[in-house]
Amino acid sequence: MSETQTPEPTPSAGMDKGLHKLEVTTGSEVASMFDERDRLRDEAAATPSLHNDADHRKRMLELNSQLSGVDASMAPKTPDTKTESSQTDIGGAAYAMGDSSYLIPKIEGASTGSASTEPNKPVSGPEDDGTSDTTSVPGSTDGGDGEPGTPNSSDPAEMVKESVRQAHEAHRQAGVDNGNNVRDFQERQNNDGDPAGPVSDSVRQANDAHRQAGVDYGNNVRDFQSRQREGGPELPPPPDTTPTPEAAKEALAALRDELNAATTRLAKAKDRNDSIFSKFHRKAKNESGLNDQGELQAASDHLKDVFARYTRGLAGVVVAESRPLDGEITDIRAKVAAGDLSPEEGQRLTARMAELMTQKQALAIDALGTITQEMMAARYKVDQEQLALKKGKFMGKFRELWTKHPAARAGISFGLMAAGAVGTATGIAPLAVGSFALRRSLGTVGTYVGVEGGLRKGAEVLGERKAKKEGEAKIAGLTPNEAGWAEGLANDIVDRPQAAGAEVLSDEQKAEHRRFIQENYKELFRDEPDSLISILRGSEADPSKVVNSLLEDKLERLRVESDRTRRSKYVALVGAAVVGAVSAEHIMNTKDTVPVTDTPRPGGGPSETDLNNAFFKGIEQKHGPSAAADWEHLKKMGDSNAKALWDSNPDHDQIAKAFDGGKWMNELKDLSPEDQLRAAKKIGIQFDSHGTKALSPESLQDIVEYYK
Amino acid sequence: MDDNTANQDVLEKLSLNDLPEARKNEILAQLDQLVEAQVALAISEKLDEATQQKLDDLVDNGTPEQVLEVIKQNIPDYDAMVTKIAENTINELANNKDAVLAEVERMRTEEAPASTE
Repeated sequence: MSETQTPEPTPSAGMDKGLHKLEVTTGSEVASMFDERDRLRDEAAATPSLHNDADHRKRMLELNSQLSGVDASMAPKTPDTKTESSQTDIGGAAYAMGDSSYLIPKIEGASTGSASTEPNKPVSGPEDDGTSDTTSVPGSTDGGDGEPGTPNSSDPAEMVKESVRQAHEAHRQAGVDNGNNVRDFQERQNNDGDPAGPVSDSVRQANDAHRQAGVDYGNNVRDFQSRQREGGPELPPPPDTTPTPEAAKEALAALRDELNAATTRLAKAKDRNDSIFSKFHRKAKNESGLNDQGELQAASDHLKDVFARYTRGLAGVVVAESRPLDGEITDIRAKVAAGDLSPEEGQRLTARMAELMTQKQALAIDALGTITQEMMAARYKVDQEQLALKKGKFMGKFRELWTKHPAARAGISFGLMAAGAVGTATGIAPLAVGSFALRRSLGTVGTYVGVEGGLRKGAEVLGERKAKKEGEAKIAGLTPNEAGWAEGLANDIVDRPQAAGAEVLSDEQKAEHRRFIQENYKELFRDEPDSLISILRGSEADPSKVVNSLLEDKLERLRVESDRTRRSKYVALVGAAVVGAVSAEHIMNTKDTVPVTDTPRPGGGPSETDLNNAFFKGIEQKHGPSAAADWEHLKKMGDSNAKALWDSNPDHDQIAKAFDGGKWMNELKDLSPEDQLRAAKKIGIQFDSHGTKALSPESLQDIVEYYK
Repeated sequence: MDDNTANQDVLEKLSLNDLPEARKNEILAQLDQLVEAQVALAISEKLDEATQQKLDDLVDNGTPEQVLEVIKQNIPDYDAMVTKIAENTINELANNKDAVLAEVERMRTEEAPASTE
């Protein structure tokens, strides 16, 4: 809230109001009222049901109203003998009863921060007993003040924000900025002893306006947060709206402004917390410190909330922009499902499908880049503003140092390198996940998270594997739609007319080709959108030759690919494809299921023994003698299996990492040779996508178990 | 591990490897700047006023080695601290990325449930 918007209550006017209160009471009556209010508070704290007792509450409100002008100047200073937690409980109860001296900190704890008006009164904690006098109805269209109220937004975060906005508006209408006023009061009280009557009165006015507006945003925030934390009943579902990309972008721009404001607020809160804390540390540690801590916490929460909405807005842009693509993709799938497509139409649709998927992936990745940059910008802005406020000179020196002497930044580069090498995507509280529940996504969305962007969560992959084991999906990693699409595509490829003179495929060979295409559908289509097009457009009618041609293309691209990550992706893909192709070849030529003879490889090359020797040599070179020793048991598994693994993924460094120094190789030994290859391929792909750390032993075990 | 490999690992962790090179470099520079600020903040919080003043003087009149020496004398676990800051920063971004993706997928699913059946 901008301080410039705050009408400054004049001391004289405030004093008049405060004195007016005093005129109708004697000192003993005031003391009696204080005693009574304290008693009611204690009763409310001890008996939560009293929060709903109309008489009890009415009397408490009367007392609050009558004492509001004298709270600050005449409140008895009782010794602070209670613990902070018990104070918080009492504060929560008093707040629930409408005690303005607690209500304001409570509100501010949710939004703008404040200070208690009573020295020995604690700031209400973030938790509430849920019995607050909440007259608001989230999503109501009229707050009860005759003004248009909250629109019927069903988004929980939006509802909270709307009630926050209403509360702020109510405060503005009351002509107060309680955060500012309370701070002013605090300063006056500490500096010149000016009675806080005006502040207290304006606070009361704000609270009245607040109540009239029919909102209790603090409670709404807590309700929402607690429901999310406890996994309680879901709030109403989002509205059935389908914003256009333009509207989504417009909303995003507004949120961007809000995000800027939120980061500034947090930076100021951090600085103010430090400065006030140091200024009043000795004599007001509990009150002033906690209040500014409250503002700091509120600002932090606010930033999280705004950022969550910002990310949701960005997600909305992605969804809106990809909507036409999704529609066209659905249409294509429907056409394919309906059948009766000419080869030309099939090629055209396949090509178009690839284009659409590529565009969708580009949108998702671009959004990821944007959100990553925004996250960094927000964090950086907070740091910089805070540093500029309190450590400007010192930090300026550091920037100067790092600019003038890049060598001094060696530690930072080292840190980034080390983090890149060892970091895991776990354990750090995210900035963004506060207001939209990851839990909800994991629980109800299903098995995919950003699958078309090439990104999936390990837990969901595991769930998918289990679903597959239960027969809910016929092909690993595919939704029913995708499975149907893959099956149709495989049929198109295998059953298409073959060139004159080509070997007529047996049913078994066709089945093998279908299996290969279906099982590798996702990898092929996702990572290489043109792969299937290449297959369909291949001049060779023999599917095995088409596939091998495709593999040769990929290997050639591997040679020229310098990007390490893309390379490893292709390695995994090629490894998978090699397995299928070689297996198919053997089905066709030898009827063996596994190419494991100690003879020169088809088409020449080293013998299996040479391959194994090179394999272990590579392990030793890359991981040291001890790692090589760990891998000795590979030999016990038989050269055939070692070679099979060699064939499954030529990136031995990756294999070593994926199998955790041989640990998981041992697990695979009970599998059939073919399943060893498949499991190795899957683990290799999983490793490639998630990294060793993210690929937990449970994940590996799940894969191995599946193939058992 | 060289810089390029480390950068690739970071980008891979953030699932940003498929962005255009220019964009990737921009993000890496931004990340570098962010970590730099956080490291500076951490340093400032760990050093007393006198040491900060000493560093001020060294920046003007000393060498980078002297500055680092003072820092490491006063913050013995400086390298580990920097690593931890960088790691936490990257992990936070990665976690947020996952949350954003989950939200995109949720919105997509809610918007067109029929198309995913």
